[in-house]
Amino acid sequence: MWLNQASTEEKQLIKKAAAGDKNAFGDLYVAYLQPIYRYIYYRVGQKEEAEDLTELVFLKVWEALDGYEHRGVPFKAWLYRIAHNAVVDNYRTQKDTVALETQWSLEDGAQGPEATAMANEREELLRQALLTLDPDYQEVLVLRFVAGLSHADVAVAMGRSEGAVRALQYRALGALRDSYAEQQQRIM
Amino acid sequence: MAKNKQVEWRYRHDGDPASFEQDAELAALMQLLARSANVQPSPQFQRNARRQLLEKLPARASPEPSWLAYLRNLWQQGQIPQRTALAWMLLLLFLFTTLFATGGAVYASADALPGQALYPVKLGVEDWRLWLTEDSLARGQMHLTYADRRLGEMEQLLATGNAAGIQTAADRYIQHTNQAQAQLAPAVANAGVMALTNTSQQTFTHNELALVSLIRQAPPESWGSLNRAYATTANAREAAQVVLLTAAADDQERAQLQLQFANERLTLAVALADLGRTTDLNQVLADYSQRVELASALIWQTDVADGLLADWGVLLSHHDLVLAEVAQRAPIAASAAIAHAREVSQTGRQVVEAIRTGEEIPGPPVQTGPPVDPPVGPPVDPPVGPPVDPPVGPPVDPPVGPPVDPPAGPPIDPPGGGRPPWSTEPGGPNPGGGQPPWHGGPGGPSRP
Repeated sequence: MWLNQASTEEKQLIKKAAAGDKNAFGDLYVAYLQPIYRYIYYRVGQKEEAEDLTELVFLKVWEALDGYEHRGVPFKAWLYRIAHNAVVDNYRTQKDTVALETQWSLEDGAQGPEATAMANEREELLRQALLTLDPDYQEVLVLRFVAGLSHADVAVAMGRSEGAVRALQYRALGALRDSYAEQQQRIM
Repeated sequence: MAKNKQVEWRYRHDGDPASFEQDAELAALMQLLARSANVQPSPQFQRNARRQLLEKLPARASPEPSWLAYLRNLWQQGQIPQRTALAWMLLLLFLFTTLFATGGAVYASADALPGQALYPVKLGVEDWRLWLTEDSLARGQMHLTYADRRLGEMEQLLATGNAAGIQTAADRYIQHTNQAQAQLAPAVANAGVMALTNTSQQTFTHNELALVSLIRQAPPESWGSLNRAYATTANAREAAQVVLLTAAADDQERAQLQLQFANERLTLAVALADLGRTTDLNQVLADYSQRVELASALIWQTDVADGLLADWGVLLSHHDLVLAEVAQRAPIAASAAIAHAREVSQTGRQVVEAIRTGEEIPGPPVQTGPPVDPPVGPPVDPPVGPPVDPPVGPPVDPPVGPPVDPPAGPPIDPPGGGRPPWSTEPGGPNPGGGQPPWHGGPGGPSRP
């Protein structure tokens, strides 16, 4: 429920956490752990790295929380913005050593090689297609459809206007559609 | 084939980006995206995540100060005489009463706006916290946070049309931005400084956009203070970018940064086009063109991984689409600058493709616009671009009122400083004799 709208309980937790209450912050962490992890995983493509980065993001949130004010910016969008910055920083420090494309692990949800191949083929193709896109395109698609954020929240997370996000998503979907078709052609 | 498909797709959806949701094929793709988002952290990580994070959290506000624990220990051990204990209790009662009254005011002041009675308390607490912070990096971060608060206050004050309040908040915003910028040019650029610089660059870029949005909504009497805030932010952002470019490990990273900054300029260009700010739009587009030209020159003379080149090619294609969007929204007086930016972007893409395929670049040299000046940093002076009409909407520049402090970053050469447009080193030789280094004419320099 928290992930859809800021409840009173969430606001109280944020207030307590901002005042230094670690347990309240722990509750927020548990609530947002999976969506933030999922977002980061889709951006970095490697499980262990995504776990490390998720923890790092929440450490940064803890440091910045006393500066957070509601002011119409939803906590969730603010959280994703910090996650976005962490991913960008991470990409900048890692880009010289490891190519992003090589980091995707194929075993997610696998019960065995054959089952994986059958069940995840389309998803895997889609992920590969996603990876070929411009970083901004990846960002907007992951935030919208993987993280399930509204256009307004994506705008906050990406530091753009809502109109720009809609236009970006429009172009990103077109690019993904073409890239996905190419990936399908490749394996045929 | 794929291109035709994309053209057909655009045709079907042109003019109504939202209509893609009714496209069966794309709807299926979106559903697939959402359905495939089932990845989860490992069970072990999930099990221990909370405990491990809480162990790593630094204390912010200790529930029991150490001196209190010390006193309690003494009391429990019977080392405090009864009369002394009574005196202590009275003293503590007095202190708590005073603190409660003061703390209440401080707490209540958190939402205060300029012009309200508790606003000075709010600023006083912030100043006090800054004064108590010895670490210059932490102080820089605090200045960024407080500048962000002032922006928020300006947003709230817009609703009331309180021009005097906006000016107060804008003046404080300028102070904090200048102070944050001052932390970016230390004697030693260590990892902490670079992290702060990176954060500052992103924040300043975001604030520039936010201020354009504010100017769009603000009453005329607030334009002066908001313009100054905008100009200060632009200076600070440029200074941060110069530090990042100077500290870049190699030309590849420098090219990557230039493209990133060019990308951010385009985002601002879209907002300025919407606002009808021709002068600023021309300046931003000139900055964009210069960065892409410099990135292209760097890419040309550096060995770049093929995967990265492909990314840059895609990015520059994306720029072309955005510029087409800007062209649709912008005043006619910005047409020349937009056309130049598109030409530069397309040439950049050709450079990338030429490197990937090993072919020569066709067509005339790309340097068709005004001469560019700084080698790695952004321009400070207004671009010598095409003539522009006077602004139609709220003016963003030139700033009105007291002068804005100059950036504390590395010095940026004045226009016409004698460096060739394609030089990528300060004072370095011009590899193309006034032409881009990839120019394939007779006797022209070849790619290293």
